[in-house]
Amino acid sequence: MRLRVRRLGGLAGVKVGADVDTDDLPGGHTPALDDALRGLAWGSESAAPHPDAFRYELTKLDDPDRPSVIVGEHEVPSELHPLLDAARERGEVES
Amino acid sequence: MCDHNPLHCILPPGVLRRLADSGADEVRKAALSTLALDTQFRVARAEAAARRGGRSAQAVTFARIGGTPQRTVYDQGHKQAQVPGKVSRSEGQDAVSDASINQAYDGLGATYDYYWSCYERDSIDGQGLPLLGLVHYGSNYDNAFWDNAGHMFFGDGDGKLLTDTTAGIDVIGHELTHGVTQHEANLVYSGQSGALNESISDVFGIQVKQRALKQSSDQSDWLIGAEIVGPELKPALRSMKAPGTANPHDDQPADMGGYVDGGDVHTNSGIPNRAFSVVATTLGGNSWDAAGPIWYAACADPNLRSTASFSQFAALTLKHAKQSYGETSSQADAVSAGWEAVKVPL
Repeated sequence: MRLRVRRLGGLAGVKVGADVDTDDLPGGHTPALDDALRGLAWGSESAAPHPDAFRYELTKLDDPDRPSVIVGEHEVPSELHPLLDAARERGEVES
Repeated sequence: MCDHNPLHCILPPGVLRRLADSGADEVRKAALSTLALDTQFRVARAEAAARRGGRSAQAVTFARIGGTPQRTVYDQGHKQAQVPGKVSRSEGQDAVSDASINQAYDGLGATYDYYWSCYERDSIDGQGLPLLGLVHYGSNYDNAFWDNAGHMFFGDGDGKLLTDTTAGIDVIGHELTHGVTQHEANLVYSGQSGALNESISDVFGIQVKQRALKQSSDQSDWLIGAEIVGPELKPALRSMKAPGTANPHDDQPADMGGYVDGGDVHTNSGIPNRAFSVVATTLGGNSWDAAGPIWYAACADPNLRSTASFSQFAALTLKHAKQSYGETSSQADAVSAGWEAVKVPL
C-alpha cells in the first residue's frame, strides 16, 4: 500500500512530506499495520493539542477518492510508528 | 435543519464514513461533503477544549515572594513518555556533565528572569509555577514544545532540520511564552489569533535572547532559532526583521499584502513579528525598554480576546503606548509606524 505522509506544525513551522510503500517498511506490511490504518478516522482532522505540536496527514495514494486523515502525534497508534519513521527519514521539506 | 439532505443531520462520523465507503455515488458525495463540514466543527471544538487556561482559570495561590525560579530539568533518555524522566538538575544545583541539561536550566532561568525583572511576573502563570524541562525527548525528535500542562519538552533534533533544541535561548523563551499566552488571552491557535499567538512567542523569545546577550535592538540579528537549525534550515527558522528570508523554505509574508488566507500560524506570524522589530529599532536602545512593555501590556490587557485579529491587537499596543508614554510620544509614533509598515490598519 502506498501512502503519502505529511508532517505538519512543529516549532519550525515547516511541512515535511514523503511517499512510503508499506511493503518497504522494515517489518513489511503487517496485519497489525493494516488494522491500525483501518482504525484511523479517515476524513477527520485532529486539532493541535498544544502550540507547536506535530500532526500527521495520511493519504492513501492507491485510493484517491478516500479523504485524508490528520492525526496528532500523540494519537498515532504505535503500529504506525515505523511508517512515520520511514517518512521522516526520506521526507523533504515542502517549499 | 434537514430540508435538503438527510445526511446534513446528526449522523455520527462513523456512519458517514461507512456511507462514503460503500454508498451509491450520490450518497457517497453527500457523505463526503458532510464529513468535510463536520470535521471543521469537530476541529474547532477540539481546539477550544485543548486550550486550558486563560485569565478566568488563573488560580489564586498562597502568598509567594517572587524573583526566584523553581527549575527542575529531567533526562527523558530519548523515550517519548509524556511524564518526567530522571531528575538531572534541580534549582540551585551545580552544572552537570550533560550540556543539554545545563542549557535547558539556563534558558529556563533567563526566561524567568526576563519576565520577573521586566514585569514582576512570577513565572508562566504569575503565581510561581515551577519550570519543568524535559530534555532528550524522543529519538531524533526535531521539535520543542510547551504542553499546556507545565512541561517544556526538548528534542535533540535529527541533525538535518534541527539540532539540539536546548541550545536556543530564544526558542526556550518562545515556548515558555506560549504558556504565558495560555494564562492571559489564551489565543485560539488558528487564523490571525493563532498567528498572533506564534508572533507573541517570537517577540518575547527574541527579547529573552537579546537581554541575555546584552544586545540592543540595533545589534540584534532578529533571527529566531539560529542556534538550533540543521543544514536544511540554515541560517535560521524565521527572521523578524525580514520575514521570508530566514531559510530557503521560509514562506513568511512581510506585510498584509502577502497574507495567506488559511495559512499556517507560523506563516502569517511574520507580519506582527516585523511590526515589533520596526517599533523596537525605530525607538533604539533595548527592545525591553519600551517596545517589549507595550507588547506585554497588550498581551495582559483583559480586552484582548482569544479570537483577536491583528488589527485588534495592534489597537491595544497603540492604546498602551499612549497611556504609558503620552498621546504624542515617540513611543506611540513608533507603534503606529510599526503597524503601518506591515499594512495592518489601526
